[in-house]
Amino acid sequence: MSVNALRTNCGSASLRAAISAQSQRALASLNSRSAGLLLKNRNAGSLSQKRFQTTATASSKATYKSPENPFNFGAYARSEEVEAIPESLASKIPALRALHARLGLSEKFLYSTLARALICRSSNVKFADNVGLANFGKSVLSFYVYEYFLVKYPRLPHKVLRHVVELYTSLPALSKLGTSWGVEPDSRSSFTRYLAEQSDEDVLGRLLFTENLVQQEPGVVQVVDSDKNHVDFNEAMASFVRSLVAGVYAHGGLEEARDFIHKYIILPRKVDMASIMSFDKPTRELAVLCSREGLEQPVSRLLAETGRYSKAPVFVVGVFSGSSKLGEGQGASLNEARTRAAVHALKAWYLYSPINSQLPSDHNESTEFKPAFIDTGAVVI
Amino acid sequence: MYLRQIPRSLRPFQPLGRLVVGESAGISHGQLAFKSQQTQQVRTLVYTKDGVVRARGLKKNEEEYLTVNGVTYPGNEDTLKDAKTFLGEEYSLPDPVILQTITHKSFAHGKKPYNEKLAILGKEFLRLQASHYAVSQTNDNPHAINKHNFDISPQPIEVLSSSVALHEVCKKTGIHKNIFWKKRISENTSTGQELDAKFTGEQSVFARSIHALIGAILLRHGEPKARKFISEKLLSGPYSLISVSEKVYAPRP
Repeated sequence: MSVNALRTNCGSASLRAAISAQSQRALASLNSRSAGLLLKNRNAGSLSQKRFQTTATASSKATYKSPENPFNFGAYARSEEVEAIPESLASKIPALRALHARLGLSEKFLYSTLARALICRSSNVKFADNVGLANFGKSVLSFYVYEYFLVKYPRLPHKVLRHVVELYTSLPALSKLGTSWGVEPDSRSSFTRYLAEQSDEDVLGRLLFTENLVQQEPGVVQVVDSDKNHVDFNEAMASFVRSLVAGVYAHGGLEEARDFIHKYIILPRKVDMASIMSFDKPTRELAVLCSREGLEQPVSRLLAETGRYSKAPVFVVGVFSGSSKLGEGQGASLNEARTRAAVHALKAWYLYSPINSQLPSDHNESTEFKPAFIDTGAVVI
Repeated sequence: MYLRQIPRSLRPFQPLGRLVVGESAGISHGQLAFKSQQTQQVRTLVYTKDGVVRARGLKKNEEEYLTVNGVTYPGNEDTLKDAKTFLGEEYSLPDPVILQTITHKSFAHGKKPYNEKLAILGKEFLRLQASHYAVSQTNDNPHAINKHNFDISPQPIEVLSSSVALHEVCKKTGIHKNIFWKKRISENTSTGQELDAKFTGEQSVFARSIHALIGAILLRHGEPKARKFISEKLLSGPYSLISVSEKVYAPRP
């Protein structure tokens, strides 16, 4: 980055005056932001524009020093020089202490880890960021949520299961969770922070990132879609939640990470399983299910009706396999009632939940594990 | 006697198809029996197109779609042998569960128990264990948290649980010979060349049965044993994913 480049794009005397050798990082952030501005005047095609683009791609690459053998995991390290957050500093920050207490984290969980979890790659501070933590946290989160719902609802079709997991682990869901924990975002660029005379130490304890939405003038927002230098708010907040999971793992192991996920991510939210399932051809699917399970073919029978010749008739239809009733539905026409009955029967099948099921991860070697129910798979029609 | 009429959409047009109605004994399937009250008589109604016999409402011969490589579901005494050897005594699973792990959804139109959800659970678990293995290696990274080095490029970890690596493991164990599945396509129709594993679906199908074995162990024996299984059989030893991944891994440019 050169000061020259900045001058051509900003051209403001006050900005130029503020530049010193110390604010290298601030410059980098400003430049990546003005790279977005440049997109508007692409026709101008200045030399400095090219310089920006090359630096932007260079900075997004080579995050880690890879060893000769990529599977020698102990030898990985960060490629850029960053500082570690001192515990003595982090433990004095009120926002971190409050968040730590609010989440009921154990004493082993260091304040410096919490502070690191709040620093995104796009923030341009001198401290180490949370990218590695977030990557790890993602796989932890994904497994425990999958496991929970697969054991609780073993017959759920794969598509529905994936959707349910998505409801708990998607970026917006995690972001909402992080916001509800009272995490304060700070999306100012490091240059703005520098002008406000706030050092990197002063902003610890907030979610630090550079947003991809830039307010150009009142009512006009520019969406910067470039590299990792700008991120969505949801992405930033979700990376904090994932990093927190990784932090809990680092200080307390997988068991504590699992308990944390159950306590804060799975159990507080209730998803109505019955309402998210839908069927294309319920009667046909039920017929295939019955033949696969060796049951008698389903037969729909009219159980009750009223007002057949009025403008508001109601029919109650039951679907039977032999003498056992599989489901019941009501509707304004015979067909509607029959379809509803089949849907009801299918939901009863797919939403089966074993009583007192034990999670595989909720088991230690000292006791006998009660095998979980293994489902044969959803019906294919 | 009632003979079902062929719908208009199924009526053959001359150069491609041929309608055969009659008591043709030479056709092994596509038979629909119509029972009259006095006599029992089998009539066949066949619609052929491109040499393939098909007609709506007729049931396929079960024997035919349940047979893969000459072995009919649920297989013979050799079918489960490779999987059992791979699992060993300690992680043994009941036979129906092993059969389910080596049955893919594409087989018999999903009529038989298949491994889809076991595989996804197994894959998630393997990815978690691979990540756990990676971050807890001894290191001297100054940014390590409680000796856990999180500053690792995600791609190598991803490769450890990927279908590329597990496909190779599956072939090493010999389980791939016994998998019940249906190939997507085996050769390029225009050139007649054999397609590679990625296009035929072989790669993901083979990998899935190993994923499913992990998932089944997890559900059957609990997490501690499944974790031990992965560290014993898949992160070290003859089927080590690390040695396999070293060969298949190509860093992204």
